[in-house]
Amino acid sequence: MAGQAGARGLWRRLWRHRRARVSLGVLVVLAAACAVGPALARAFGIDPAAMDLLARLEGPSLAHPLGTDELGRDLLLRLLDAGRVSLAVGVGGALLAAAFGTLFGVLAGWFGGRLDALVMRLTDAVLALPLLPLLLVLAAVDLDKLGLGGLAGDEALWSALRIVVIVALFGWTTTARLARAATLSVREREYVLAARALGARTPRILLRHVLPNVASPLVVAATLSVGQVVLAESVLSFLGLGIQPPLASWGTMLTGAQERLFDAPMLALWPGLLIFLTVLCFNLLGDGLQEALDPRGAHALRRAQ
Amino acid sequence: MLRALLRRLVQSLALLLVLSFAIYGLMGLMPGDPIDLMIAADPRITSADAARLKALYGLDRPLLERYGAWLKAALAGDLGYSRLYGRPVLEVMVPRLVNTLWLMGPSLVLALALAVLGGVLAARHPGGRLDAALNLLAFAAFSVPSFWLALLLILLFAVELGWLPPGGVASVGDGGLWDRVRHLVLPVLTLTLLSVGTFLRFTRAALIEVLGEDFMRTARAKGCSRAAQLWVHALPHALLSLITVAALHFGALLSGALVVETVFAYAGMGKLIYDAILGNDYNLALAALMLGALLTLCANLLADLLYLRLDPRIREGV
Repeated sequence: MAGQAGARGLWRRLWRHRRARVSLGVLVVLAAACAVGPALARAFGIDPAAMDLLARLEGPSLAHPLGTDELGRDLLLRLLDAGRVSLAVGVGGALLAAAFGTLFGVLAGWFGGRLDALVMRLTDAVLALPLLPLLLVLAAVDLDKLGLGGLAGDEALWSALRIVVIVALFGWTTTARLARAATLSVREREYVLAARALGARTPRILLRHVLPNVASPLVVAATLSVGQVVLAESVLSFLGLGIQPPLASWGTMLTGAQERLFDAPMLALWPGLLIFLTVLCFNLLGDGLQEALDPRGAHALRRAQ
Repeated sequence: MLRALLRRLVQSLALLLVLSFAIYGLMGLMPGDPIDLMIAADPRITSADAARLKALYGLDRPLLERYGAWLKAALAGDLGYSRLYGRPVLEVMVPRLVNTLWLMGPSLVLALALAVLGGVLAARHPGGRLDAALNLLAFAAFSVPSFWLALLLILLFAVELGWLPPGGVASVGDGGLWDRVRHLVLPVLTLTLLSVGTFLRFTRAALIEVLGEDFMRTARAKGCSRAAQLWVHALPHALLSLITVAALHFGALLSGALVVETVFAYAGMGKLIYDAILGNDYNLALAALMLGALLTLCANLLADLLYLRLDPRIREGV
C-alpha cells in the first residue's frame, strides 16, 4: 500500500486536484522566496534590517517595491525575512506535534489498557479547553524561574523554539487520535499476526508493519496542522508573547500596525495577507491530500446525490 | 446513558481540579513577585490585607500547601483582590463576563444561521459550482488570522468609511442601546467569521451523510422535492450533531474572543485575561482562566445533555 507505485498514484491524484496543485505551487514559491530573498539581498550588500530614517513610511518605488516601514526598512525584504521565521515555526511545530502524536497514539493503540485511557483523557482535556489563554500563560512563563535561564545563548532563537514546543504541547492530540484509531485497525490484521508468529519483536512490528500503514491519515493531519501552527504563532506574536526581537515573524510585524492604521494601512495589509495565504494553502493542500488518499470518499459523495 | 453523563461530570470536575493546579503552578513561574507588586501598586491594601495575601501566597511554603489554601478560599467565594483594578476579583469579572456574552451570543447565533443556510445550499448539489465556491469560502473563513481580519474591518468601516466606531464597548457619555450595538457590530462580525467556516463544512458533511440513508430514499421515492428533502427531512438530523459541535466549539470561541476583544479594546473576559497575564495580576488571571475553563466544560456537558434530550433514538432508550 505504501510502496512506490502507491506514492506515484497518490501524486497523480493529488495533481489532478486543482486547488491542491495551486496551493502547493504558491507554497513552494513563497518558501523559496523567503529562503533565497534575504540571502540574495545580503549578497548584494542590502541588509533587510537596515534602517533609513530619512525614508520612513514611503510608498512603493523602484528601490522599495512595497515601500518602507516606520524605520525606513524595505517592506518586501522584511516580509521575506519574517516569512522564514513564520514558516520554520509552522513546519517545525507541526512536525514536532505530529511526532508526539504518532508516538503516543501508536503506543496507546498497540498496548491499550491504562496507557490508552490516559492518552485518551488527555486528548479529551485538550479538546475541551480554551487553548489560547493557556498558550498565553505558557508563553509568559519566565524561563529563569524554571532553571532554564542559564541555557539562554541566543534569546531570540529561544523565543522561536519555545513557541514550537508550546504549540506542539497542544497540537499533538489530533494526530494521536488518528494514529490510535489506525493502529487499532491494523493491530489484528493477518500480516501483523504473521510477523508476530514469526517472532518479530514489538519495536520492529511497530516500525515496519504498523507505522507505514497508519501513515496516510497522519500526513493529512500534519499538513493541516501547519496552517494551525502558523496561525497560533502569529496570534501569540501579535499579542507580544511570541517571537521576540531581533527576530521578526509576520505576526510581530502586525504588532505595531494597529497604531499606524491611519497613516500606513499597507503595513497592516501585507503581513496578514501572507499569513492568510500560507494558512489557506496548507489547509487546501491537506484537504486535497485527504481526497487523494481516500478516493472512496469522493465516490461516496457522488452516491449520495 | 445517565451513568455516562455522570461519569463525564466527574471527569470534568477532575480536569478542572488538575487544570487549576497546573495554572496555579505556572502563575508562580511568571516574572515578578506577586506580593511585592501588589503592595507597591495599590496603596489601599492595608497591612492586614497584605498579611492575608502573604498567608495566601506565602512563597516560603510548599506549592501544594499554597494551592490548597487558594482552593479553599476560592471555593468559599474568596478569589482575592485584583492588582490592576484594586477591587475584589469577582467584582471585576462579572461585568466583563456580561460583555463577553454580549459578544459571543449574537456571533454564535449568526454563525449557526449562516452555516445552516450555506450548508443546505452546498448540499443541494454536492460537487457543483456553488458547493465548490462555498467550500472555498469556508476554508478562507477559518484560515484568516482573526486579528488581521479585525484590523481590515477597522480600516474599512471605521477609518475609511467612518460608519462604525473602531473599538470600545460604548462611547464616553453615551451608553444607550443603539450606541452599544454600534460598538458590537465589528467584533461580532469578526468572531462570526471565525466560526462560520467550521460550522458550514460540518453542516454540509452531515447533510450529505443523511442524504445517503434509507429513509431519505423513501422520501425521494414518494416524490419529495429536493428542498423539502433537505429542509424537512435531512436538516433536523444534521442540526442535532451541529448543536454538539457548536457547544464543543465554545473553547475556540472564547479563544477567538480574546483576540477580538484585544484588537477592538472591548472590555470583556478575553481582554481581561490578556491584561491580567501581561500586568502580573495573578489573582485575576488565575480566576479568569478558571472561569473560562469552567464555562467551556459546562458548554461541553450541555452538549451531552442536549444530545440526550433532542435525539429521540437515545431518549426512548433511557
